[in-house]
Amino acid sequence: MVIGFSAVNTGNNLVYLITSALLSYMLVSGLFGRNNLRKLQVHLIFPEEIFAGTETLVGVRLECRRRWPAFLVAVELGEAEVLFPYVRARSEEVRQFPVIFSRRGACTLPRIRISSSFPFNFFTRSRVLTHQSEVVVFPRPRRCHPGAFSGDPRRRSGDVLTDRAGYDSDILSIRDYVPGDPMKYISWKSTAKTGALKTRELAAIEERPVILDVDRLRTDDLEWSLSCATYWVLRLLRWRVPVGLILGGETIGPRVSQAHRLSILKRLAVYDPNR
Amino acid sequence: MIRIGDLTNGVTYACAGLGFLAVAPHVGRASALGFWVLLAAGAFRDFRRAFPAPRWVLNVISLGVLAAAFWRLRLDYLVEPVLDALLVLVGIKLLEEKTNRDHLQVLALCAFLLAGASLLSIHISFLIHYGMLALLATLALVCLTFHSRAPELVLDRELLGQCLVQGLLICAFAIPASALFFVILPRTNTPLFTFLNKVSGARTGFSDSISLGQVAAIQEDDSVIFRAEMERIDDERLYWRGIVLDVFEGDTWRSSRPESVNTVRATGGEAVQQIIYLEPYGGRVLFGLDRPFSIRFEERGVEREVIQFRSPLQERIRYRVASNPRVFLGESDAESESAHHLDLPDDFSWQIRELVSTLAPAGSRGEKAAALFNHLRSGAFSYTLEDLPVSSRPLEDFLFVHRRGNCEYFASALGVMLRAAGVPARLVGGYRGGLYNRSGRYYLVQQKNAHVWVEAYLQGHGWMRLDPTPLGLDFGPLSQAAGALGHLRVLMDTFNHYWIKLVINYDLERQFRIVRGIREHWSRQDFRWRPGKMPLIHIGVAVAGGAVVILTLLWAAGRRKEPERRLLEEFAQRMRKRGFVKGASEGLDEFAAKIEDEEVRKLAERFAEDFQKIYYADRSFSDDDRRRLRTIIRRI
Repeated sequence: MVIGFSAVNTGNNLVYLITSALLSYMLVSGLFGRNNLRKLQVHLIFPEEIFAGTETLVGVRLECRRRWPAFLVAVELGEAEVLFPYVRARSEEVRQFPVIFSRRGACTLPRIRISSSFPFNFFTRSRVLTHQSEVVVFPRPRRCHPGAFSGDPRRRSGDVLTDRAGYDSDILSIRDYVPGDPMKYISWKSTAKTGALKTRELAAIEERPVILDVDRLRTDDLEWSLSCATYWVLRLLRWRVPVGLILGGETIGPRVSQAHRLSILKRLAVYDPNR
Repeated sequence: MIRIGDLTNGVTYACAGLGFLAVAPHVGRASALGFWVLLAAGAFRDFRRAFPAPRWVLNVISLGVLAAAFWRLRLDYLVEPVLDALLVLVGIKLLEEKTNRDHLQVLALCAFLLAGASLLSIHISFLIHYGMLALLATLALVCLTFHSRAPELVLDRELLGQCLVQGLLICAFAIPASALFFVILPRTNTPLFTFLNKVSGARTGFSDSISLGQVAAIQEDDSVIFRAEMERIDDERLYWRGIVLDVFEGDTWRSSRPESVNTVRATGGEAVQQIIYLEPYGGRVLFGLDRPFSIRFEERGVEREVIQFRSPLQERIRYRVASNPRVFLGESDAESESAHHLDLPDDFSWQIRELVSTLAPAGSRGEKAAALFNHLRSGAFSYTLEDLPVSSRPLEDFLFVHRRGNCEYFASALGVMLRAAGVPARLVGGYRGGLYNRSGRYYLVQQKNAHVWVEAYLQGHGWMRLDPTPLGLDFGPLSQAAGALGHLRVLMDTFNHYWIKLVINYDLERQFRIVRGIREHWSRQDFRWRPGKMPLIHIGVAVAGGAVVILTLLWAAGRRKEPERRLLEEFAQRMRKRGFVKGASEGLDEFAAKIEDEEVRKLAERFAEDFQKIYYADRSFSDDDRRRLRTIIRRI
């Protein structure tokens, strides 16, 4: 401003030259700033399980799909921000930032905004990117007394043997050695008899299944009930106890698989008694 | 590997150093010393984390510096104290614990220093400082941006290289943009603060009188007095006329009415056109190839005839001259014959009168003039700049004792002898010779080319130029530069000439001329296709222009939004103004249903319904559809 004013009022062409340079720098910085945000793609990498009220590390992958590098790109997701000082041309960088989701359920993510003040810190340019807009946040696991449930999930009356092979109990059979079998399960006696390596196959022990009946929990606080159920789902499955769920009149049979675990947690996450 | 903080500091110090170089010739020793001491202390503090520098103490010192500068200000001495103060302020800023804002302030102060320097000097070295400061400031700004966003960043070689490349690229883009802004930025004919421009002061040298008996330092001065754009002519014709000295008073020649005799009416013949770029030399006289019959100076868009200026020239000017280089040119006989062209002082030397009567006892004016001229050019007299006769009777000493002198002695001697012989005579002051610059097509005339010659009036012929001074070493080869150094000098002067012509002298008139030129060029254009007659460059420009237009159109077409997307954006923008923000993945119905304001909700639902009816039916949006939907948007 001052230099522009002096240029006009002194009529000095060299001051005009400086004014021109300042104006052209503003213009060029705008162009460079705009180009710096072109052809960038952001991917969010969420962990498989996100629990409300618990710090979760979300990965941000910034992909630079152009022939020139990107500088000082900030990726904003709500109030969280992660800065990529430099991303090479035609490559990608991954950074992580912690996020805490306050509520359970299907959570609509705020828009991803990428911004940069490059090349000069005079203006900050930003762009909003489209992205997957929803994640399911599981209830926050809260430790609660097992007695809250009508049947204490810890109360078990002995192991149940299954006909599945495992490494837990009685011998089911003796078979040929397969590379990778643990040494301690090799049946040396049979090996000596047959002259070929033999492995003992043992039966797996299955825990007695537990069904968490959330509907019959003795409390009016639904969120607490769901949190409590989440805690026990996680804990029991860690013990490999098959867990089932009764929620809103719907029953999910007991199993121990990862898919089953996610399905129960999702059910707990999106449960709405009014629907 | 280098930390971004250290790099930013380093580049800022380099900018400050460059700012100092720009103003070094104009600042006092105390300020320069203060600046370097502060810079050294600041650098030591920054890189060694040596000692704290409380900001309030530095601020108090800064105020003191400003007060001192204010105290020194005078109306005719404004810029220098300010530059002194600015320089010390830069030093103080460097000493501070620097935030990003302080770095920016240092850069701004450096720009002010450069601007201040431009008020005091218009030398082409400004361009070097300007270019280097632009590059360094760009790098500093890039570093500052990194520093502000990631203060702990450590740059590896790759990132450092990339920063440098980006800085260079920005400069490369900024240069043409600056040139464009320079051309189009508005100029005014009446700047308010022209008194701030004090360009290179007046030069001694050319004066409007000649006093004999003084060694002329002017002829040892290499500085440029003017440049004349013109075709090359014979060296013999290179007399640049300035002032006519027609009154002789003992040992001094002066001009009685310079404005009436400097130019003459054109009498036909071949005219030589010149454009003269005259340096601010402190005089009022304009120069042109002998003899000029028209000197036209353009001011405020109007070109007018001028002879000389009322006040001494303090800025570089440009004017056109038309000359007729014929030796004889008519002036009115009555005026030429007037007695004052024969005037000699009453106590004029009897020795010289005797010499004249011996050399030219009788005959026509032409014969007398030839005899006297030949006497001086006979070989008995030699040219010198040293040991000139300094006495109360310098002409007698020159003619009878020393027989050595410079052009002033030769011309004065011939002038008075002609008058003593009854031939109207006068002296003409100006310049002789000049270096011809082939690439720039101009003559470079230096102060050392200053010269004085004689004009004698011969009936029937008019005023005839007589130059009694033997061509001495002072003029050297008249119009050609000798040796590698000479060529280098000519080359450097070419840059300087174009710098002055294109940058320093650019003004409102030029702006108008460019616009007028473009308009006239456009209106003159004959757009009929005649490939054979079109110059190659025109075809090239047309092809390049066409390519740019096509690429721009393609780019714009690629960016053009589909109508439905535009409608959705207009809807979302309207809703945002009403305080309802639509999520990126939110459906129109879903969004409309959430709106609490019933009136707005109904309109939004109507828009959603109408829009989706067309969109999901895979119909294209007709003009009517768009109009109807836009009406709903406007009503929201």
